[in-house]
Amino acid sequence: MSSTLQIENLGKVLGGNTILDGLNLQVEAGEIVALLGPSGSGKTTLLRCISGLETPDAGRISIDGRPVYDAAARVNVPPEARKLGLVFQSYALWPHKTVSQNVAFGLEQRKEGKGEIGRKVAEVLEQIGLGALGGRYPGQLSGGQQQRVSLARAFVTEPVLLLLDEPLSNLDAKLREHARAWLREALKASGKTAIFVTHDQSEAMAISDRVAILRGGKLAQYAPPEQVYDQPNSLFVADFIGNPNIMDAQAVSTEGQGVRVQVNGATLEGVGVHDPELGGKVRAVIRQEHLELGSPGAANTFPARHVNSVFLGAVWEHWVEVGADRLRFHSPHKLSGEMLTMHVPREKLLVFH
Amino acid sequence: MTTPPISQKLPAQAVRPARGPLPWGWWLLLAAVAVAVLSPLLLLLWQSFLSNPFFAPAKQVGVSAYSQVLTDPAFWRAFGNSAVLAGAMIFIAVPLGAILAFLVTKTDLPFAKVFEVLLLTPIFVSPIVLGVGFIVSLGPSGFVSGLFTQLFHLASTPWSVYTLPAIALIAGLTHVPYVFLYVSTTMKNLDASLEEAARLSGAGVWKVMTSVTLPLVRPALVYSAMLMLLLGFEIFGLPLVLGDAKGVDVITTYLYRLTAVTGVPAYGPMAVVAMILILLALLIVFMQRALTRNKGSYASLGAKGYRAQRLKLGSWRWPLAIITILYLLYAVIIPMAGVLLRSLVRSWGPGVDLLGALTTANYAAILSSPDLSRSVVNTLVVALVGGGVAVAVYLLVALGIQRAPKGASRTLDYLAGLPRAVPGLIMGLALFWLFIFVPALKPVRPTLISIALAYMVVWLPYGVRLLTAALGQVSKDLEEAARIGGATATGAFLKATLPVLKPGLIAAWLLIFMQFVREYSSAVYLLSPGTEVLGAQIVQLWGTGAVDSIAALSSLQIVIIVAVYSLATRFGVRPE
Amino acid sequence: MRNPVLLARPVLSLLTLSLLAPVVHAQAVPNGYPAGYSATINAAKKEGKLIIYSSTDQASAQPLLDDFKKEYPFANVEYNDIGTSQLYSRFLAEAAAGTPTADVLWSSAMDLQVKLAADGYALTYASPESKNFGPESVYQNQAFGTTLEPAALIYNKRLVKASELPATHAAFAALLSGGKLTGKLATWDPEKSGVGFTLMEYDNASNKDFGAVSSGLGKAQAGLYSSTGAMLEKVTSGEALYGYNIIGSYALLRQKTVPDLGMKFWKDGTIAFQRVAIINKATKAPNTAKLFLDYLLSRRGQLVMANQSLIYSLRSDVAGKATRAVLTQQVGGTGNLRVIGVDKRLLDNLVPATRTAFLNLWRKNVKGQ
Repeated sequence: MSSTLQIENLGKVLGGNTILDGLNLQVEAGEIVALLGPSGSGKTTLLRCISGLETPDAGRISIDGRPVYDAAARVNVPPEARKLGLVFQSYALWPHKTVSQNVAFGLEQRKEGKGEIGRKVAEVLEQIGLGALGGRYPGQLSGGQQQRVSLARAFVTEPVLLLLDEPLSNLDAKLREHARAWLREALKASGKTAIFVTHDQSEAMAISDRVAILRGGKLAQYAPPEQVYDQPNSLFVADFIGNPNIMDAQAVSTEGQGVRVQVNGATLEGVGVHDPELGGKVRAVIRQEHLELGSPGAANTFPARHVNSVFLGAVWEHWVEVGADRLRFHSPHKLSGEMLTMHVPREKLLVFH
Repeated sequence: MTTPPISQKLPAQAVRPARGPLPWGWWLLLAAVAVAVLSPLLLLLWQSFLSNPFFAPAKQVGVSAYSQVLTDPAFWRAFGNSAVLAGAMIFIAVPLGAILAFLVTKTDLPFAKVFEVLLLTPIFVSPIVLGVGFIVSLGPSGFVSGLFTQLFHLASTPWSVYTLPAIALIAGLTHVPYVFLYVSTTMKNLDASLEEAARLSGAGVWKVMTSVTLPLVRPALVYSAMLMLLLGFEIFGLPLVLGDAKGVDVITTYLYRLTAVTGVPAYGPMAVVAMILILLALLIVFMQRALTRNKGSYASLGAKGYRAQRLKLGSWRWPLAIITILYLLYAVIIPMAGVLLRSLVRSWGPGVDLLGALTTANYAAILSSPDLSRSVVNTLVVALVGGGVAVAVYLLVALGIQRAPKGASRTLDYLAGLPRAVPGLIMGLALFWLFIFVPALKPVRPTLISIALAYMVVWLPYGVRLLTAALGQVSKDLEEAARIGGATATGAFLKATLPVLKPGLIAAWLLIFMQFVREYSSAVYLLSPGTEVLGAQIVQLWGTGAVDSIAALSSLQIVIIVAVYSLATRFGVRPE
Repeated sequence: MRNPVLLARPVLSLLTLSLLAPVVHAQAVPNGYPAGYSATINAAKKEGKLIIYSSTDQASAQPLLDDFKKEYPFANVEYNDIGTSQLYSRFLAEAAAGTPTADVLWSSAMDLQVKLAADGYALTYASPESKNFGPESVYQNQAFGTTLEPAALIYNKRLVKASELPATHAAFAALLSGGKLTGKLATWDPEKSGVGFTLMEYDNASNKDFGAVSSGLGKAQAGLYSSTGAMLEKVTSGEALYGYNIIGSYALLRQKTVPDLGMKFWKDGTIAFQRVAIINKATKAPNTAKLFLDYLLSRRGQLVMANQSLIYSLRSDVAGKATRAVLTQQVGGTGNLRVIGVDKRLLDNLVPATRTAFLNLWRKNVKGQ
């Protein structure tokens, strides 16, 4: 009971700005996809277009191959007929209805029998652990409980596709970490195709099967979380995920799959995502956790000047200067000495234009 | 890509756009509003170019009426005075109303509930009566004046209630309730944590009000200011009672001058004055739209429920309470005492032994009048039922402005802003003409329906703005969630937004009820035996000088309104 | 003034006649009416409602309506108490639109009523009562004067001693210029009130001292008002010591509840206006209308007017509180009573040029413009 989603060449212009620019996306049945990106990247707009609450200007959206929106064929199925579920960022629980009534609403619209509705509502409330709270009003629940009700309401009508708009952003940090795992479990257990919008990368990677990174209304990279993390296809993606170190370097030569660059006098081997212009300037990206102290003279090391150290509790965070750039790395120990030798494994040195 | 299985769940291709309900519905609404608003105005426009009544067999078309009015120094004097009044109303009523709204709704000011009712009292009272109240209390023969001059051994009071500044001040103070209502309704639905956050950052209560609360209720402030501007030119009762003594004319009392030249009611020049005010109203709507363009999201009524934490005033608590009491004393209590006194005495002024002059004869006179019970019933019917229908209509218009396609929305906004611009006397005449010349409306004329319709049209700007404010508070999410849940656009509005809107609707209905009870000039030509209403009777009584009857009648009016108001607040008008 | 004969009759028989008149419940033709009048009465029985538009307030008119009902029980009257200007506007528009409108119009705005007659809206009717009135009270048998209401000087008895009251206009003008009355006067604004204009203009025409009085009013910064009620209230409360050219019938009514209100007439000429009644030419109830008009003009009706409504009645053969006879005596003789006639002069005063002439004079004297 889950569907596929095809988005083809979707375009949307709002107030003179191009929010979605010929976007293409394909989601498989039962897959969980995160829409990630900076503000203005169009992720929320995309979600709302899928839901039918907003109308694109061009392209096609199809569920299970059947278009719900098709600019050329003038198809635009209204939101109430698309049979989707949408969890709002604000939860959008109706304050004048009880929890049970909130959850039952969609079933009532589908004109299901009273007894059937009652049964389904009770069941789904049990599933999310709020079985005893059916008679309460949203205003009487905690944020976490409201979020779960919102989810239950979206689930109960057995939609073909589940959409979630920043589902965890209103929860406090601790709760959020628990909720991440719980949400993925719940989604996987239901087997539904789900698409959610988030600006939190950890959330995106923790919950989803694939991450779609949007930039300027286009898809920057669309791949499983590990791939996006380890093999970003552009500097933008590499930079967007986490908070990596970025250095200026000079491309020297290519070596099969790898590329040689010069950094602060040292020659390093890394993996290049694009064919670099030899002799030209490139950007070398090293994630904090991949940068470590090395022994002078070993392979893939380069000198750096220690400038600062900060105690974070679990680790020390050290700042080093390489040429004009400042890099960060962690180590369990305090450091002394001014000149350090840094090491980065070959496959962790990402080189982009 | 694998060929996806065909789902049976999706409906056949539908071409309905996902945006709003039946877009042609909005155009229909627009047409209805346009007809209702523009008919009297276009008639007046036509009349402004005619030398004789438009229904006279012989008439000339020309601009003589325009030149007569525009070259009349008395007109410009009156216009200037009206502008001064409007300015005073904006600069007195808006700040005072906003600050009082803040103090009463958001802080722990003592006696807040009592203050709220007292603050609103001027709206319960006919403006003519308010004027009388000020004369009886603070006028040259007033009892407060008498106490003052005795106390300080003066020959006469240093103030006069008949000068332009005095009238402007009184106008400003007596319109504070309008602003208070608009602003406090909006403020009550703001999340208190927004102000708490500012407080915790070190801001004092004043800073919180000016940098957090007031900016968040900006639309209400803008609407209030624009309403004050409009009402300033339309104001009639107060200048009628207070303006003659020193010859202070405003636009509405200037209208009486127009008959001087010909001796016969001069419809052409009257219509010209109406046209000039319409232009002004268009300008006001334009300004209002410009000032509220960057709306942002003021929506705060949503799933999070209501928070009712009140800001602590600390050491300012009692001083502010005293200041509020002083304000109420001057703006409300003293004039109300004046009205009450006048209703209970035969005669008043220096040399009159007030205690000796006490009498219930005035009340006896009006209570024994056979018309009175009918008048009260009529007034209640028009105000309650007509008011209810009006709220529904105003809600539709407010929805139209919020959701209709851009062109329709903008036109509705302008249309909705026009009716109150035209002085009640002229508007009443125009509406009367429509009711007797348009065949479809003729049978309606002798009934209460014509009065209710007239009131509905005239108070359109007020009501629509009230409901726009209420609508703006409800988060769009609620309705969207309902649509995702499977409700149609209309269904989603009815099931998700309307229930949450209910307190705002009841509050709006209450306010419109009060306006309808007080209203007089618009329906003056539509009255007949059997359809008298209180407001118009008061004007008629004023003409014969039965001020004591007016005072008694007004006290009755106040009792009715306070009763309805208390009942309504008991039944949850204000969400707490 | 006509009918000096009536004044020669013994007062006793006059009173007897007056007292007896209401006792006669006439379904039969009233005393002195032609026999053919019964046809009018019978025709009226078949007619529907009689709609009256009047500027006389309901309370004052009620005794008349009640008595009319006693005389003709079958008559069904709808009485509309409307202001003079609205009355005119409403009637004119309704007549043009063909909607049900007034059958009888009874208004204090003499000029507007005569204009309606002159413009052809009034029914020409030779009332059997006409012979009891002078020519100044009838216009072409279309517009009929019904009352004779004086424009009085009202004053606040608490603050003005009887000995201080000016007897003549000249004395009043002197008092005004004396400087003691600054800001303590109330009078009409002829620029804002039609009735006020009529009174002041006639005052100017009939009173040689009007110029001095109006200048005095200006010097004393008199308050200019558009309604009698406002002026009465000002004098009642003492804000104004005097009210000039106030309609006596209103003042008389007010005196019932406000004993401090004093009223005085001028010994050198008191003007008086007449409330005018016309019958709508297009009336659907012409016979009932005639009955009502004749009632207003009849001795019986005028008695009620004088004694219960306290509107000064016009007929000279009526005795009572507010009657022509009493008024004549109070102003010191018929020579001192300046009656504004129901005549063409009123129409002349509606010509803009003529009107503006007086207004300019007024403005010059009172406002210094």
